[in-house]
This record gives sequence, structure tokens and C-alpha cells, in this order.
Amino acid sequence: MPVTFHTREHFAPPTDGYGLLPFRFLDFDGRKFLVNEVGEHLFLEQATFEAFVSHHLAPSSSEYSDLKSKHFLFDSGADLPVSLLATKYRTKRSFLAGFTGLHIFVVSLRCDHSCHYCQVSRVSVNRQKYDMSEETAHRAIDLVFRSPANPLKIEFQGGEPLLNFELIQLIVTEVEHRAALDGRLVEFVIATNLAFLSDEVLSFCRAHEVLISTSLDGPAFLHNANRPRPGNDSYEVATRSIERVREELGYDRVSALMTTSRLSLDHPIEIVDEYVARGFDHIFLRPVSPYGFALRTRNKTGYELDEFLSFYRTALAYIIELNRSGTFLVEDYAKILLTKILTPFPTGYVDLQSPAGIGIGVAVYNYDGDVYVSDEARMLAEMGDKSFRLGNVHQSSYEELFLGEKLKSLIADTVIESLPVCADCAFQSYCGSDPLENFATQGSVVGHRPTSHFHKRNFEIISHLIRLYYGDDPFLRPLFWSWINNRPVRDLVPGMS
Amino acid sequence: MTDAPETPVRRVQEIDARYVELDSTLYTESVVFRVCHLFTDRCSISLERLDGPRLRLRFQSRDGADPDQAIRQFNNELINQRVRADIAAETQKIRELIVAQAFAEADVGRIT
Repeated sequence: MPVTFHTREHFAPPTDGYGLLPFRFLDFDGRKFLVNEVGEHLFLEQATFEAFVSHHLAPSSSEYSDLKSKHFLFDSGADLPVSLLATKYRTKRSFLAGFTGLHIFVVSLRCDHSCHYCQVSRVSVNRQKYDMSEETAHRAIDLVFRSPANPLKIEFQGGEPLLNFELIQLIVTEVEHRAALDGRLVEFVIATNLAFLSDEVLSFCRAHEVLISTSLDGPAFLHNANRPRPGNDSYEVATRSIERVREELGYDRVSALMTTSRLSLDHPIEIVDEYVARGFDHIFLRPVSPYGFALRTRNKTGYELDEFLSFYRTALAYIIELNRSGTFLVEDYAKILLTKILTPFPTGYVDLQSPAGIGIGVAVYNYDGDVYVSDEARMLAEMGDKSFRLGNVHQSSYEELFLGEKLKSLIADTVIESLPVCADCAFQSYCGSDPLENFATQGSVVGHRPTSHFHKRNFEIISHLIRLYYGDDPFLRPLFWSWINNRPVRDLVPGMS
Repeated sequence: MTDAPETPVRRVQEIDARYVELDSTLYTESVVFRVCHLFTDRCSISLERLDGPRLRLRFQSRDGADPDQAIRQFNNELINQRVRADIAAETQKIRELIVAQAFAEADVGRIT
């Protein structure tokens, strides 16, 4: 049977005009940067942009083809791509279907460390009244299993959660049992300073596949300055224990997070080198959160946004050079943003989504049974502000906590598609809302974007990554894709580092 | 852009203040307010309606910001915002279709 082809005229540019599809734009280094409803983007010269939006762009131009293939315009030459765009839109927001996947149990407020930036009030290790009770844990577990999410993630925090290890054992055992009955997958993480790591803890973690997350702020002088404890040996304890966890549980069963203090700002290279020396292939360059002791000890921990951005750019540049010379190291915040910029997939990072992940992505069960919309919310509560407390496990039903007007109202104020400035921002689909930071620093959940550090920090980092990706360095595109795929560049592009 | 009124008292009180007059048939109130909001980090801005379609905006710069530079940026941003408003109006129905279809076909999972 002969193959039938369309005539030559079928492929000719349409002559009856074109329509615009939804998109946002901003001025970017002398050009226009356009982003459509699902995050696809391109640059246009100013004159081309003016021709495009005034419906005068020539169908024979290369920009017309780019705009059409990336869904910025439609014409009679193809069907209106509503279904395709709807599929991509739904994919980008698929995090909404996993309602409250992360449940944080604050099993103890007690801690042996007295970190300057600690985000909760710490108390003496002897004060048992700051431990979560078994009854509170059981009530919280009941609430966890009302959440429709699958898989579930249970994270233990403190204080230092290993100071109440008996309760961790109880919760893990009970959750595993109920997950098996309910047909759910579940993952456990203990966020610990590792000072109380023991054979018993390691044995339990091995048997129940519990992951370990710890803090590593940099080399010894920096880590110990940021994280004081009796003996001033937090660094030695942490690094020794990291090796022990790797030997007993497996190399990838322990991860580390760093927090940028004022002292850190002068040592970006040393911090990155420390992560490489300790065998980590990920580092997350995190600014200090404006909560808890970070506010009270502002002289030691606080700094200006521009200082952090300078620190971030320096560290990122060094990480890029390490990768170029063959050391695979991912900067996790860049990876999250690049995934949002370059792919249609959500990242699971609850602090950068719209609506925000408060309550619907994460819930926190405090030691006393109070339920908060996020870890930052209980930090604010420890400072005396319980604005983000949803209720208490002993007094409130699931419906009151998670389907009530309080959470709905908070969530509505974090939909950036309708927030001032965000509504018109070209980076909207790459960014998110942080109602807690807005509230803590600006006094309202909605916040004031023109003076918001959260807004400026993300705007500057997103801009920086776009400049790098579309700049002159041919190594950066494969490198950034290697970060998105979590594989060294040489695995993606043979012959490259 | 126009200069401040020629009254000595007002000039003393309003040092560094600048005035801009706009034709509200070119820029809707929504466009003007969105751009004003964007500039609230560097200027204190007040608006008054003059006769006919004209609006007068008074800019008082904050924290040493250059008021003339702010007004140049403001004027450019007005044009961007007007274009954004036009694009939003032209594409609103398609956007609503995309979002409606996206959520209509979503698997919302189990609700217990």
C-alpha cells in the first residue's frame, strides 16, 4: 500500500495569523526572558518580543518556530495544545496528590548542643518533661495514617531525638506494623547530631532501614564554633560517627546538612573541601533560618542577604571547578531549582512550591502533642508565637487539624499565582512561597515581595543559574543535567569529566 | 515627569520628592497600582486623581535611593506591566482551560 504524504503546501507557514498562549516575561540582561504556564522558557531580543506580542512576527522566522514548539503561540497549522499543556501543568503540581507525606515527630526537646543558630529552644538533658510521651506518640501515629499519602516519611527531630531513643523504637515498630496492614510504603529518618550513637541505635537502624541525617557545618574550627557542646568536640564526634554509620549501615545511609553562620561566610572553599574530604557527593548551601535562637543571637549568626549571595556564588563556582576536574559534587539547592527550570517534574522540596507545603506537605507533632504546619512553625512557637499551631493530638481530630479553616486560610495565602509581584513574575513556576519566613521577618503570611529576602534570594539565585546555563561555558549544561540526574557528567557525556 | 510645585514651603518639606503624571486611558488603575507596589522598596508613593483621565504620582525616595533613576525604571516597568495585562487578557480563557483540564483529570488518590 503506497504511503501518502501531505502536500508541500500543508507544511507552509500559516498566513492567517497566530494566537498567544499564556506566558510571563521579564527584562533579563538586555533581552526578554519568557516563561510559559508550564515552565518552558526562551530569550527574545526586544524588537522580536515587540513583534511577537503585537502579532507581527513572521511565520518564516526561526523565533516563530521556537515560540510555537515551546508553546508560546498557536496557529492554524496545529491543534490548540490544551491537553498537552494540561498534562505538563498537572505533572508540575503532582506533589498536591501526595497530601502530607512527611510527618515529623519531635520526640525530645533535650539536647547536649547549644548551637547559636538552633531553631528551637534547647533545654538541659535532664529535664524529662520535654520528652514526647507514648500516649502522644500513639495519637500522632493515628493521625499519620489518616493522611492519604503513599509513601509516608517519618522523620525524628529534637532537640536531640536519640535522647529519647526508646520512643523512636516504639514509633518505628508501630508504624511499620500499621503500614503493612494498610499497604503503605514508609521511610524513616533520624535527624541527629550523632553524639548519642550507640551499637543499639545502629543495630535498630540496620534492622528497620532507618536513614541518618546529621549536621556538618565545615572543618573543625567552624563546626565547633557553630555547634558548641561540653568538650567542644562536636566536629570530632560527628565525623567519627559518620564513618561508623557508613561502616555499619552502608555508605549512603547517612547524609549531612550545613547551615551558613556569619563565620561560614568567610570560608566557602573550606566548607566545600570538608564535604569532599568526608566523602559526600552532595552539599546543600543553606542560609540560617530567621527563627528561634538565630534571631536572639543575631550578632553571631545574622548577616545581610548580599553577603549570603556572595558566599553562595563563590561556593557554587568552586563546586563547578571541582566537578570540572573530575570530582562529582552536587549543590542541592541548585539541583532543586534546575529541576524546576529545565524539567516538568516537581522536586518534593516543600519549602519551594505553590501552594506552600505547610500542612499539606509536612506536619510536625511536637513533644507536647501540639501539631504545627512545619518545623519552622514550632520554632516560632518556641519563641512564644503559636500562630501556626493547628491543634493538639489529644484534643483535635484529623478533620479539624488538616481540613479545617485555619490551614485552608494559610494555604490560600501561599498560592503565588495570586500573590502581589509573584502573580506577574516570570520565575513563578520555578519559585514558591515561604509563609513562615514572611511572617517571621515581615509580620504577615503574604509578605511584601519588594523587601522580602526570600524573594530576592531566590530571584538572584535563579537568575544566576540561568546565566550560567545559557552562558559561554560548554561544561555547564552537561554538568547541570548531571546534577538533575544525580550522575557524574562522564556517565552522560563520555569523555567529559 | 513634572517638577514639584513652586511654593517655597512645599519645596522645603518635600526635598527629593518627584511628581509623575499619567494618562489613565493608557494605563489602567490595576497596572499603575501593581507597578507602584513593586517600587515600595525604594520609594514612598502616593496617588491623586487630577481632572479628566490624569493621575498624579508623588515619589519620595527611601534610604538614599536615586529618585530620578527610580522614576526612569518606573516608566519602563509601566510599559512592561501594560503588556503583561494585555497578554493576560488575551490568554486568560486558554489558561483557564489548561488549569481546569489539568485538575479535572488529576488522580487525587485516597481520601479516608
